[in-house]
Amino acid sequence: MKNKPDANIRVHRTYIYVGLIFVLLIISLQSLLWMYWGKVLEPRLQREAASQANVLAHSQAVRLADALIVEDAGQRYHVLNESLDEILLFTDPETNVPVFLGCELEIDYDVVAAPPGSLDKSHGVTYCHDCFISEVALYSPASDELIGIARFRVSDSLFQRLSKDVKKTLFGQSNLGTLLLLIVCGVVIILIKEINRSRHQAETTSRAKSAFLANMSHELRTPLNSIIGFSELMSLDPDFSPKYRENLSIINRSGEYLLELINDVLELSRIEAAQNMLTETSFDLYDTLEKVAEMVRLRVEKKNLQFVFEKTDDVPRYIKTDERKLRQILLNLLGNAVKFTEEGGVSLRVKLVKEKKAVSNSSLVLLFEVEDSGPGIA
Amino acid sequence: MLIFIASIGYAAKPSVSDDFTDRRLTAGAKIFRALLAADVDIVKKTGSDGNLRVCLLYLNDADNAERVAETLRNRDDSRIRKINVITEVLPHGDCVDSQEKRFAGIFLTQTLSNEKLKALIDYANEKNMVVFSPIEGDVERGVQGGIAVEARVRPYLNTKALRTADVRLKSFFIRVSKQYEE
Repeated sequence: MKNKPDANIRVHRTYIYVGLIFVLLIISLQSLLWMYWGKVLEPRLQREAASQANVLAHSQAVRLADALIVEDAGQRYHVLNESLDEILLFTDPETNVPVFLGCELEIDYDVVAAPPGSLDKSHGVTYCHDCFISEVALYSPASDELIGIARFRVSDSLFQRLSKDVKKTLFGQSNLGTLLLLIVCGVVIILIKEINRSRHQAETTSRAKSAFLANMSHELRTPLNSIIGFSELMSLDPDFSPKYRENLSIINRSGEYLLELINDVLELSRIEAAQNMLTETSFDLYDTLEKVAEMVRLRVEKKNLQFVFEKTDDVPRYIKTDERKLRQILLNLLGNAVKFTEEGGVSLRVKLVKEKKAVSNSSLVLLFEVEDSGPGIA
Repeated sequence: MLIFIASIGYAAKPSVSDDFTDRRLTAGAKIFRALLAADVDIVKKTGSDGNLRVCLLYLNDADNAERVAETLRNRDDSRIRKINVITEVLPHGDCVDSQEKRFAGIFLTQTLSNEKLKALIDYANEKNMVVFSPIEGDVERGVQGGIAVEARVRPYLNTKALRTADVRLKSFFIRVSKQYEE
């Protein structure tokens, strides 16, 4: 009865662990994506957009250079203003935002014949927080001389648009991944639940079977004990002829054998029902060993084998342990030894290995040795 | 069949490479003129006839050097800072060992060996001349000026080489250039 709540707690703990693992996985996935976005994708997009801004600015530099080499000062001023106004008119068709927000000119008056500062013009905005600044050299189309520098302020609308699109795609797909993880988590929890249910069912069935076997074995022992008892009594009756006494002896031996089998079944069912506990009692070890030796000796003699039983003097007479189990183990080992030995002999040796004395409770280690001249374990 | 394919591959590869080098030479020609125009002391580098002389140096491909020379000559205004420019196409020996001719700048049209390049740079340093090469990697090898091809073509300057040759450039030009620091 105590096991069931424990099992339930274990099952609930498993659910919690599985849930936690998946939550951690989802958090890790999202963190990795944010890191990838922040450290790789966004800077890369920014570099791409800056490069794009440079190309756009460079494409406009030629018309400014063309305007600057006009010979006539009045005409030059007019063409330059017109070019700058037109450049600042260009808009991104996707966002309808001006591509160039501002443009400043710095002219080399050693090359351009104009009063110093007269052409250093500034059109549009002179400051913007997020825009890209691109400085472009203005070369004379006629002589290739550097005639000045144009500083363009290019809108970051392209970057913003790209950034928004990529982010939307990336995190949209990550949400799909998260959903898949949640589905997998649900499936895993359902599977664990099913496995636990099946295990619980199997355990219940097994326990019922064991209980049935235990009860059956117990019920069988009562009439069997009567058969053994009465056959033994009858075999002592002198009125029976030797032939009948022999028959009664066979009935008795068969009954004993059947009882042994039933006891084994009972033991097995106890193991399966988890009721196999050590029952410690104080008993006379010498007496138990003699009984075991007696039982084995009969079988050994039948097969014309030798049986040696030795125990050292330091083996204590009275010990406390599960006598039944000790006897069972020794009988099993010796039974097997006799069964598989065709010539030679079987021996049982008992000796004290270690003794630890204490005021309240002393303990010792005994060594039981079973030796045979059989073929051994293949 | 395999040999045939291999020979096609071998034949095609230099052609692509040549196209790439040719484009760099053409783009470099314009930057070379801008570099000479940005030389603060360019006026002092005219010859006795008052003209600026530039040498297009080649090793074995005079035709290609001549093609670049045509690009330099065929400008609306082929002068630099209002000074007439005489463009000469010469092999390495003639360009470097010429005692009587004083060049304002030398333009490399072919890759030189390390020894020849060193000899050229030493000569240019001694004569206070600008050496320019649009060939990739030459600026890193010690040539004063070249081109950097990125989103746009920019002048590429080896500042240490410029200091060594005592070539002074306008700040405007330095501002728009990519600089190589050894």
